[in-house]
Amino acid sequence: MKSLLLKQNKNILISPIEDTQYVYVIPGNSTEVTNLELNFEKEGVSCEIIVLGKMHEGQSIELTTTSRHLVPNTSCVTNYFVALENSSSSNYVGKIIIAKKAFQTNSYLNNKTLVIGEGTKNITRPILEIEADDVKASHGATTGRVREDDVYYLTSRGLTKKEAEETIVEGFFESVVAKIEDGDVREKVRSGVKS
Amino acid sequence: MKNNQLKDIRETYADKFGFNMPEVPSSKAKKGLSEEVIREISKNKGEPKWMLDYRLKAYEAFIKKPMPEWGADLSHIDFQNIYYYIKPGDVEKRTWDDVPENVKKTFDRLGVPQAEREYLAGVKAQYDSEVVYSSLMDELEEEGVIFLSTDEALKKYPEIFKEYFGKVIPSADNKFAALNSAVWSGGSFVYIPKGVTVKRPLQAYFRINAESMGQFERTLIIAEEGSFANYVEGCTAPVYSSDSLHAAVVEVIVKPGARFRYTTIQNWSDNVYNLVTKRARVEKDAVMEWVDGNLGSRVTMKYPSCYLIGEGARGEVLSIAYASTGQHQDAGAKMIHAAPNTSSSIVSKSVSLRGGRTSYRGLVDVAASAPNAKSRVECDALILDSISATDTFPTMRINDSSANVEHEATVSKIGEEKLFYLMSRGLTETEAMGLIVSGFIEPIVRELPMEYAVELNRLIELEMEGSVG
Repeated sequence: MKSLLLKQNKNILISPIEDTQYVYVIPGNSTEVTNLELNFEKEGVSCEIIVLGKMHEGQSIELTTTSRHLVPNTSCVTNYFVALENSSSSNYVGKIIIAKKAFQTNSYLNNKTLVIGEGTKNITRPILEIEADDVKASHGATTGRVREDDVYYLTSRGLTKKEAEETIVEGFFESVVAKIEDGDVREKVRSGVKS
Repeated sequence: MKNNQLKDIRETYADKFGFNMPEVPSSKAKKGLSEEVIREISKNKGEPKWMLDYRLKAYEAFIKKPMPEWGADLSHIDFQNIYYYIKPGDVEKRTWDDVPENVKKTFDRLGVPQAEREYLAGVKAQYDSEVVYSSLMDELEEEGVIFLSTDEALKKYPEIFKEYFGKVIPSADNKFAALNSAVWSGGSFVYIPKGVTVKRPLQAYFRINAESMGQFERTLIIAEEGSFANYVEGCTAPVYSSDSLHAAVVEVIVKPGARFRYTTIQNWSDNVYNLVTKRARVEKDAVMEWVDGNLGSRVTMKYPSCYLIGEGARGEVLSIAYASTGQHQDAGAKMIHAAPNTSSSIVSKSVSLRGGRTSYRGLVDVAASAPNAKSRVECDALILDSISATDTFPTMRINDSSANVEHEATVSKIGEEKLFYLMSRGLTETEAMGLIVSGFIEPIVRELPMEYAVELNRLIELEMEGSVG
């Protein structure tokens, strides 16, 4: 599958014609609402959306992803992975829309929010609108803090608390970064979320 | 072929569920709503002045509030074409023998088993807007449990009533809560004293039996510290041609350490708008459980909620929605975490078939003042054919950094291989589908009292007939 790193833009609208991974690294300084939408209008296309990023102190992101399935036999996996530092916030809407006649659709949304700071705010709205049967659609969304146990384990191995947390965040992102098939894009993203 | 089948099902619906007992109201009020109608209701009931004032204030709020613009289509409700109060000819009866023959006939058609009918000594049956049959079990009285119609409670226990009434759901909460506050009639009042465990479920049957008769029952429940009880209500309504409105309000107060379960199975006929506000205030270390089954009605909009305001409070919602032709079940749950160490869980199962639509609409809100909150939401939807639809609209609003919130939803159809397996064992396709649907909702059905579980399975069987084609 081809990997494509999307440029920062507040409105990204795509009608995929071939199997593609669309990767978007959340800009830390954005104040606009970002809207990323895939309209499946060609049969047999299978895509992935990977949105990820770390919100630093005081930053906020408002983002919507939509995978709209209009024809039969398409599939999409949406990933939204965000880590929240002190006083940062995330407001995410993740839509899966399956139109009538879009049979054999397979669409999944995976949203994980990792909280590392205090005073964070997180709103998540995963939405399913399904008009056809013979489809598979699901979503999972979790919000949780870095586990004290994990931090303790790493500090007992000689890391400082900060290093331990950074390692955990890195691992958190790695679970989705590793899915990026194109090596160049993968490296860019890896260093992008580290900073 | 399919259309013919559908038509047949529509025609036989009345034979299956529709029972339409003759109306016997003594003073049928005028259709429509006005200040005059509200004064009339209050006067008829001989209410204290504060209640009349409360009703009138709520009426003002009702007029001001806009119709909700989200959710199901409510544009067909005509508020001026509804009776807001009917005082039936049959009022309060003491013993089973005194219960009017036509009410007994209705129970016959409801399929209430004989054993349970005898059990009715502890059952409140609502016929039209007033409780027609009420005889409390002695053991309840001995323990100080109060289980009355809300109207009686206002007369007999005015102090407790005034202290708690309208405190969990203010009259101006939403348009339909305001409407209920203005014209409420009937419903149950339950008071469980400190430390009392009520072993048998408290049961109430609700009925709508007059054409275009809105039912606006009002239920108020107070579970004192350390008490435990399970309240069960079930509804079936006759089939009528014109639209009918049901806008109930249910308020529950669960005091520290208490546990309360509120179970509802509703099978309104498919012309009823079922717009209900249910909310519980859950105090320190208390547990509130809503078990909610929505089977009938044209439109249901119902989101039982728990306000977890005490440390360690827990809220649970188990919900089933079942939508067939022309029906929209817009159901869900709300959990508001407002204190430390609170937890909540929501499990929702929905089935849509023959053009029905089910929607899950939910909210998990964690306030900044509620560290260590835990919440888990699971919604599964089953679509049985290509003309039906389903939606999921959950919102998670987390203003605290130590919360742990999980949400999961799936949508699927019945697996061909499962059907094939069951059919290879000799079941017909209809039987096989019925079995799979029963299995799908089983995690919730097993939480119901036995007779309700049996009734529900019987209903699913009836509904599945002719769904294959």
